[in-house]
Amino acid sequence: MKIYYHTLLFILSVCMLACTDPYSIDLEQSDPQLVVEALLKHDANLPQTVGRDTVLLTQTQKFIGNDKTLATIDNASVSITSNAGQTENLTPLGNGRYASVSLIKKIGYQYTLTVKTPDGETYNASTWHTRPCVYDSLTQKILDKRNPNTPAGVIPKGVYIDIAGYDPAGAGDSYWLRLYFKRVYKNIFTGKKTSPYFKGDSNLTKYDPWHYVRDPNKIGISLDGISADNNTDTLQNSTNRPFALVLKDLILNDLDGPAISDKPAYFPGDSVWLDIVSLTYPHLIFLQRMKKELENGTGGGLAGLFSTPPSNLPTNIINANSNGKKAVGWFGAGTYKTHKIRIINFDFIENQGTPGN
Amino acid sequence: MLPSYTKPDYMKIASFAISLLLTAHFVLSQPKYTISGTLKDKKNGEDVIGATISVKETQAATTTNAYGFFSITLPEGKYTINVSYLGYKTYTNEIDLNANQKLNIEIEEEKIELTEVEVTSERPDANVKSIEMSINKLEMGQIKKMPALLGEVDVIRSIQLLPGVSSVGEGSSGFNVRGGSIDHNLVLLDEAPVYNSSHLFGFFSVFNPDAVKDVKLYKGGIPAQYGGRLASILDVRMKEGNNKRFAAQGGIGLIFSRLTFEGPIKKNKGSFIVAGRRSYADVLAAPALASNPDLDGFKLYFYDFTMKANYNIGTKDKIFASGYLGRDVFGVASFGFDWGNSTFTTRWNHVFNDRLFMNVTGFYSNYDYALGAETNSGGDKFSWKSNIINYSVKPELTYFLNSKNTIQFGGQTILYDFVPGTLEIINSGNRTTLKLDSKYALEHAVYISNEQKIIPRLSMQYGLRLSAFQYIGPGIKRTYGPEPYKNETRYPVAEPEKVESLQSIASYINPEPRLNLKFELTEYSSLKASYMRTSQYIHLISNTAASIPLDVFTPSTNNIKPQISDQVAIGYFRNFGSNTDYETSVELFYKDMKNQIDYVDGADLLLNPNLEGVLLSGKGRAYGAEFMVKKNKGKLNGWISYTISRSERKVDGISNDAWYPNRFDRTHNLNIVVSYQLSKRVSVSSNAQYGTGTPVNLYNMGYAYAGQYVGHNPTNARNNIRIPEYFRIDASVSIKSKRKKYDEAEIPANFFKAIKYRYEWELVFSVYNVLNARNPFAIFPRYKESLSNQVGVNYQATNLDREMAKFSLFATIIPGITYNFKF
Repeated sequence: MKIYYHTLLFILSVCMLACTDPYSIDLEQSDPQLVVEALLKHDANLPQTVGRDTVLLTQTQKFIGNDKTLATIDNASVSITSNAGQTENLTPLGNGRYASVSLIKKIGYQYTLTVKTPDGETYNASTWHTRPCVYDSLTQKILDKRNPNTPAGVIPKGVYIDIAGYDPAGAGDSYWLRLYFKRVYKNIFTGKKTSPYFKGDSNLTKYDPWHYVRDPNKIGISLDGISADNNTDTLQNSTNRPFALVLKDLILNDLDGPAISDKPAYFPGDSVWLDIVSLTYPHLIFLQRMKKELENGTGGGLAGLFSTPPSNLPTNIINANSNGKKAVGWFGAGTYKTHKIRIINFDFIENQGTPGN
Repeated sequence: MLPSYTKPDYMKIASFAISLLLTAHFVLSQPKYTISGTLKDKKNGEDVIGATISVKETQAATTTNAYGFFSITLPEGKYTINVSYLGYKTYTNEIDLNANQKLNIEIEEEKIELTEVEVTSERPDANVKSIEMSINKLEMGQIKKMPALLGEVDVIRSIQLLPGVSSVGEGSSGFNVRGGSIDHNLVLLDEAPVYNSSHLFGFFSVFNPDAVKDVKLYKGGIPAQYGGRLASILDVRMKEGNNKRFAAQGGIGLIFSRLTFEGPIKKNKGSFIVAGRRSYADVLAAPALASNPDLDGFKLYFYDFTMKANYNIGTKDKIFASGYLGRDVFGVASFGFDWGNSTFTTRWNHVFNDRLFMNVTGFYSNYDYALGAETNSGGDKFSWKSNIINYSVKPELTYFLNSKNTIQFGGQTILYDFVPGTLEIINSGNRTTLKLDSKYALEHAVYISNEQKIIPRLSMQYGLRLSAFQYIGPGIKRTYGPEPYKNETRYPVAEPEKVESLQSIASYINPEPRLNLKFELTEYSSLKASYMRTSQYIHLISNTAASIPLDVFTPSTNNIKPQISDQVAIGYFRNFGSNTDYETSVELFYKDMKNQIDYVDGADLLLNPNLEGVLLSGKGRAYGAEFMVKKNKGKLNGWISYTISRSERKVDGISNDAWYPNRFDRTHNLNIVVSYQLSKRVSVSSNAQYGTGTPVNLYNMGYAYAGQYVGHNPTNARNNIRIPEYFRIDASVSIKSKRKKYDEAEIPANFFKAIKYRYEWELVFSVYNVLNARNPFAIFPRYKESLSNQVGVNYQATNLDREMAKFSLFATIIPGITYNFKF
């Protein structure tokens, strides 16, 4: 519904009747609660994966503010038990991080996380590894126009990335598409600056390392190959369905914001790295809800008018004592496949005008 | 199946009603005769609704019904009949009653040479004398005098200034009556329901003020003839059209223009009216848009047509046909959506005899919206369409038994066809259609009621409406596990079951007793009380603060029970001043509501096949006091209304199972509406609105997860924070053309030649939000770096910087100018 909000927002701003101001309000602070963030990773190309995971324990803090340092929990005891009979006590690394080095992960294995916090509470969470999708590579091609039905010239010729892969037959396959992006300052082929597009963009050099694409709009979630931003359960019984274009376009080909953007997403030399992570269905719902809550906060003023009321996300972190303190977050397991691609098509760029704002 | 909560003793209710009806029949000591007929406006032949017909000798009185019909039965004798209607000359006729008599009366508008203005057409003492309570009647004359947004008067915006009526915020479509949701209001345009009464997302309503004759809002004490919604009935009646001559009127404003044309089909026999509006914000904005390629193909407009015709066949029958067609459209090149209502009503009035009047209404109503986008490479697109269609027949009879009793009875059947959504996706040439199943339902009702004068000072209106609802196939029946369930999505316990055409999936019956009492304390004061039970079988599915055009209605099903409300109200009514210049009233109400719908956290309502699985059910209550002082006459007129109220609900699984306030709950609500006639041609008006802030959900805590910062409310309380209070003042000045003094005889019969004689204009300057207030609509959490608006850099943005933001609609002074004309 992003387009919907944007269009509405636009209409109101055209009328110049609406406005949004920062509003200071003194919200009472509550007691901090435990936050668990963990994803046990299993490389789908291997029969099993050992270790290489971290569990992050932090605390809730006040919503309003700009604390970029998180309050962590460092003296907890953290262990993971798998249904294959293995129990690993995780090694504290500091900064709220606990490392798993020896846990054996396989599709079908189930895991139970146990966290004993310094205040005496014990929390448990369980998850399991699900099967992967078919994901062979990323491909690129030049399209003259993004959409032949729109007036010529509005949507530029550009490079578009596609996923060579599909969701296997069967219902309930849940995926998290995680995108990383790298843009270099110079065109690696010509040595020139890549495009007039970047004139005056002093931030560019900062992009050199891989960046996880964090825009909440770009949290890519899919159920059985189609976008899971909204309810999809009537389409579950699929047979080898390619990933939906709506999903691919949003995640891969629309980096610059609204779908009505007039700018191409990619320039020569750009690199893209896409993980497709298979998750449990409850974990997918957690991400779906998270995406919605975050988009509520970015939809501009109309968030207040047409968004759903803010609400708490679900959690699978359960206090062993049902009257004890509650926790938030998610303990997940992901079976992942990964591919990278570098944009090499660049001929068309010569005719590319300076995009408007 | 009868739900367990509806177990009143039907036999007791029925025997009580019958015994009351029997007391109405007393032995006739002398022959009685009936005077009956219709009352019309002499100038244009419009039926006059709600005028008082009184008999001087006996103090008996009756009022004309919605079709101008009246009937009064008296013993043989000589009588003086008076017809009084504010703003009109009093009609008097002496009658020697020795047989039944037909009396078709035309009354003439009073030529007001003074600068006094009457803004009501109710009988002068209706506030005290009428049995009706919790009812507000707004005259179009009054509505047209109020300062309006961008100079365009609006029925729904005017209603929001009445006691007991509020809205979640300006600009939101719909209104809340006595703590009810917006779908608890039945909005009727010539008896056909209008499902979305707003244009441009609620800035304007669908009613063209030039074509509206009468607006009546029932907040309580709803007579048995109406039903189907919990909180209120907004009865909007269109003009019939001038049956004496052709006439036109219209207006040119900043946002849209209006044109209405009316005239006789056959003089004094039948007439028609056609009215249309079209907005042109898109046309005016075109140059500004041309420079922005993002907005290529930009569309934003609405239009509506209102049509009506009537014809008298003989002396006993009259037929009406009326229709409304409106549409809102907006979009850009690759995306667009549109929505609209269409209604069509036919009515047949038949006078069986002097005492028995019948009206049969048949209507069709359709609300639909469509959404389409072309967002992908390779010519892919999706389109989505949804609608709700109604067909209904509604016979209503009024039997004027004698001067003390008026019995009304009738029924209604409605067939609903809900098409919740068809989504078509074309993906690389492959077409996928995702269709949510249509839902069908039948709603029936029969009713009987009597208005009885028990002793001269005590009147009673009592009735019973029996309503029934059948959710029928073809459709899908979903069965869920037993309640109670908590705040999480449920899934059917078994494979959803396909139900064949016309087979019942769920059915409900509800008796709805209604009772109104009036006791006149003195000539100038009365005490009134009312009780009503109402039930509602269709539900608006919306969990956003303001309703959006994409919200869908759903019928009651085996999982969604009908909503039921019991309301009691008492009121004290008092008039002051030599000519009852001031009307005052105080009303107290308490409302208890069952089976209120709420939603699990984060529920997704759009195109959700498992919709019933994300709904929660609970109870609601609302209570409050309403105060009103109104001045109808004189150079200065207007009203002050104040409401103190509370509206809450309690739903298992939400807000720790405790009572929580509704999103539209406002503790205090004060409205002041004044207008002052400066001279014959110039008048000024102003209104002021104050309201307590509405409550919203806010997080106070948060946490980081996967590079995002997510809000969290550990208390779990729903609508936990109130947004700041609301205060707004509007003002307007109206200048009218000089009144021309021609006798009707001087004016040429030819319509075009007559224009220069009849042409009148009015210029209205209005200022909305004079104080330039930034009234909050909502407070919401926001991430400071606006992620989607920074072209090219959002893939590295972080949302760790958080604040609360206040959103205001109409956050500036909005001037407006409108030129109105008629001839």
